[in-house]
Amino acid sequence: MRRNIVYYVTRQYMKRNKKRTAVTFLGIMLMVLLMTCIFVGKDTGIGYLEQASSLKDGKWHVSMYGIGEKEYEEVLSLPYVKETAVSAYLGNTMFDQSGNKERPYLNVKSYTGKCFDWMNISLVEGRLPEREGELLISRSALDDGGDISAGDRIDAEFFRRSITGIDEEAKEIVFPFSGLTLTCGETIEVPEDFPFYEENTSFRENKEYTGETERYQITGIMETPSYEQGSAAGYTALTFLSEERAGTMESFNLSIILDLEKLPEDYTVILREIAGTHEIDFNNYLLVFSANSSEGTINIIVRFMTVLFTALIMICSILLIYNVFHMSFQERSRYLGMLCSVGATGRQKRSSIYFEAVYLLIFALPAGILSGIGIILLAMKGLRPLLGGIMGLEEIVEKCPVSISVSVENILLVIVISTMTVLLAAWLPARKIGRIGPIECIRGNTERRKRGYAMNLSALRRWGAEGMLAKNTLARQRRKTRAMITAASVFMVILVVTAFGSGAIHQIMHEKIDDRGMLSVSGEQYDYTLFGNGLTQSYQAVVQEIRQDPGVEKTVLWGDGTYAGEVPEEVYGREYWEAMKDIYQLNYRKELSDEEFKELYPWGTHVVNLLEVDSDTMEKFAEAAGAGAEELRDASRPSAIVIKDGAVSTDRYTIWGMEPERYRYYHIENLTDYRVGDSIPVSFYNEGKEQKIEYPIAIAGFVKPEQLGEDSSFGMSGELWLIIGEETAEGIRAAADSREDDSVIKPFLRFKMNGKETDIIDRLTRLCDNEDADMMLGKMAYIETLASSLVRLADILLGCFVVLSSLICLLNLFNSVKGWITGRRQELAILQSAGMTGGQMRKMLLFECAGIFVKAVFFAGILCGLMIYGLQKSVDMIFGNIRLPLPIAGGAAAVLLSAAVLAGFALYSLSGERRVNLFESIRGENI
Amino acid sequence: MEILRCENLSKIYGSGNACVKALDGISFSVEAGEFVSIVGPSGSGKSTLLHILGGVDKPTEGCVRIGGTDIHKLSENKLAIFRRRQIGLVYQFYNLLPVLNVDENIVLPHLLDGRPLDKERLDRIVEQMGLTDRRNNLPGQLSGGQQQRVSIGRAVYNHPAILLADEPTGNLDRKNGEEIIRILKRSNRSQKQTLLLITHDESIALQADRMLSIEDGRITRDERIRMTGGDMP
Repeated sequence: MRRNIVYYVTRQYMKRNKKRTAVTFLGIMLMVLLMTCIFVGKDTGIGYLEQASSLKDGKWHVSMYGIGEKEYEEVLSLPYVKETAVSAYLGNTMFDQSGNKERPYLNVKSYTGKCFDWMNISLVEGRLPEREGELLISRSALDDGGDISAGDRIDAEFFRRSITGIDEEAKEIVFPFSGLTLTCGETIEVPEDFPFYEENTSFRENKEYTGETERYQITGIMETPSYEQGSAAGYTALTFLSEERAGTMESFNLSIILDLEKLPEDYTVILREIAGTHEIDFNNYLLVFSANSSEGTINIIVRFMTVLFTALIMICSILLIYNVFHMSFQERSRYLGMLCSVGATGRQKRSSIYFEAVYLLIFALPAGILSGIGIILLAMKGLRPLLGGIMGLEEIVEKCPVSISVSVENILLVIVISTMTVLLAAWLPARKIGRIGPIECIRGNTERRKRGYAMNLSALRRWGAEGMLAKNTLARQRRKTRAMITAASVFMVILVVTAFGSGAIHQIMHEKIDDRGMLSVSGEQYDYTLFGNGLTQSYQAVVQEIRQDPGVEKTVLWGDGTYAGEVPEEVYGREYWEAMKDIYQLNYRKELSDEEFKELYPWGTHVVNLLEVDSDTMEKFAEAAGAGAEELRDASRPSAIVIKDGAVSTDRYTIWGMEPERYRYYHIENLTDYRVGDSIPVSFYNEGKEQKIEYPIAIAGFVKPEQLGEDSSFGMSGELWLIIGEETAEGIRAAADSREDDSVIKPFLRFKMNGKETDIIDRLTRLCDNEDADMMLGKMAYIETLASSLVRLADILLGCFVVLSSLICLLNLFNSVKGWITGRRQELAILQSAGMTGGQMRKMLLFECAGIFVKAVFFAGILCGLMIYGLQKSVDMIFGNIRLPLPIAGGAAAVLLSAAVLAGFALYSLSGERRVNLFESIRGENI
Repeated sequence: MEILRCENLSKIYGSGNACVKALDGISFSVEAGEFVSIVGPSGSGKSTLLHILGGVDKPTEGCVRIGGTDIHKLSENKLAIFRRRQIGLVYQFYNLLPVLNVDENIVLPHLLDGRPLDKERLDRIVEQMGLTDRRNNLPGQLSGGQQQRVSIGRAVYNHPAILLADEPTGNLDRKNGEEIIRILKRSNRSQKQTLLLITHDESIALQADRMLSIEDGRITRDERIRMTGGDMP
């Protein structure tokens, strides 16, 4: 005897409806698979990047340079410091064997054994130093032609480098890459990666010998360490540091591995405070991919993505499973009614639904988890080159094997969330079926109607018999079509919302990670850019030559005036200052009054940037801005098109090295409150007169960055950008008294090749390689940065997610359509027996689909609107007013796709039904 | 005039050991305006025969000619059109469309034919069927007898060449059953509507002009009860 007759009967019905059971199983499995992809995939991806990034810069999290015993003790007292390793910078020594005259020194460091491991020092030949007096030399020394090999000896006499300003005429000498400013007579120490400058009239290099000497034997050659700068004056050399010696050192470098589980939010602030004036370095890649970015960016995005995607998957799955149970309600109610009439209780009836759900889940769980892991493995292997590109780690990634990070917590999480989802989906149908009585169950007519319906003559006249039938079906069998409408709406909603969510994440990552704060002009339609310092004769001659070259298809000559001018503060509008004040408040972590803010933000002027464009472009831009092109060409009244939108964020403005309370992005609709026709009081520095000169520029019109994109795309800037024509630019150059070879507006020529063979690029490369060249050639290839790679990576993952979640919805829609048609088998057979032809039946069905589609679009529109509004609000709350693109194209595609899918599935299901014996169909339901 | 002729009709369901011969070489013809009752025990093949005659099922062998047309040689589309114009089908379980009201169900084959609605005829039929006050109701809101009357209305609305009724009273009480037979007989007598009716009820079968008895898929008796449209001989 069967132990539980309800379960047995349910199982028999599941077997009888193999297709429906298979679709439900597939839906549950897909849900588990997606959950696995989210939870296990997230850990695997981040773990992989963590592993790869540790191979790049080393396993350490934080390094402090030149600290003493006091700082060391303080670091050791922190509860989240896991391990430390000491190293020391011994100084420079002459490297007579160097093959590069610009790198005449060795930068010698001493490492304890742990440091060699943490810094990923890998040998090319020989062995690591094991005792003091042994030295390992960077391979770059050999690559530059250095005359050295393992076994050689080097006598080191250490010195510290400094520079002294000697140019009495120069106000100050700036070394932008080293962050140094030098005045005449001043002597400053230089960092170890400071380049080597030959004798010059601006400054003098000094060597201060420390008195320490050492005789080293070279034990091996190592791969060039990641921290070694190619422009540094010295090659890296490493010697062994014993623990005893390390203990006696007054000043040393400290590498720290943190306990990431115990990190407080403000650990960077604490560590910076301990380091004080000493240099401190965070291994950001490693911290970022350990999901412990110093600013929490990746953390927030990963959390946001996890929550959003989990919620969407749960919604899709609940609807799919609910729909299946809802559709099978009629059939289930019959057999449960029969059981009920012989004494089955409401609980037993409910258990039928739960049994089916759990039964399928038991098999779907391992299948989904295993296939999810398989997909992660495949995806990781496929994405490896891209991951490599993220940090320029192509070679490292090759060596870094993919391993799946499956934790018990994650698997448990997948199981719990999947079980919750399935039970939640089964709960409503179970509740409903548990409540209805045996007679209603057996009759299956839970839908009671009292009202009558007049003959639908208008539908008949307008759409014929098929239209009338379709309209009656939709109007008079609402409950039966509800599942279809829900499925179609959900399909559209999921497509639109995932498209919006993906767009939002793309935009957030783009704004948050790739937050350069500059107006970035990119032109994928061009192949090269020739940058010049000014419109010198030689530059103009080269431009002429490029334009005439048969291998060049098109050129465009623009001018870049980044930070060219200054304007009074009031030129920037209210919106800008409100955002700036907010940024200050977030940094100072307190409310600031206007006065306090003004005190903290003391500059009286603000920068303004210029972009000079050619006449053709200016005409297009003028049209976009609604400005007169003639007016813009009038040099007597200089005018410009102003880029209206801008963006600032807590990342773009770091205030005295402070850490803002949280990240905040501000999209600024109006960077200035000035209006068209107003004159902006721009001033430029006149080099000849050595003073600022006023050069007012009138506003001819405003544009948004996206209005300008045709063959160039413009990113958001935190500063005002004025687009000027050639005539105005000429006037500015004259007013600023710019040197021809160092113009305030620097020209850049972009050009596109047409594929014809030419030596122009070779000639330009040779020309630019020349030391005296005042121009530079750049290839406009897609440059893979960390930000762009992360955005691309996220785009791929989002794409996969959209596809997989759409698949669940597609299954739901298919199941609903199939169930809907199958449920009407007898009805369709009656129509056939009454003389309806195949064509008429298809037409009727398409009318029905159209009606369902219209209703689905209506509900989807409302749902999408609400969800998009909610998402936008969440993004506003978490990140700032990032302007998220409305998924108009995605929405249109979703609508069209759902229409096609709905009609396609309906016709496909109908063709299946028409193959079923008509006689059997008519009789079938009555037996 | 001969309106229906079937020759050597056979129908086999399944194959191998599970093979069931529902009809075994049935041949007979029906004159226009004739009322023929078909009787036989359950599983004898009555319904199968009626559905093959109505073009909703196909014979394994043999042919069915209605008004000279071999209906099973028609394409699916042409057969559908033939069915809606020439055949009226009445089922035991009414088989009405649940989403159509009484009027719409009745005129369904006519509308499917793309012809304009004949309101007068519809009113007349609705009245004849005694459904005047229920015309806006959906089938679910009607009693079994009312539903069957709608089904008969649908079957006769298009003046079909032949009306086939498969146990039309099988699901009804005696009073309603009698009413249905009265309507069918009236249609047969007044409209000269050819009628083939399957029944288990001998008293109903005896009201026909002719009675065919079927057993194991074969006609065992073909008995004339009365002259067509006339009284008992």
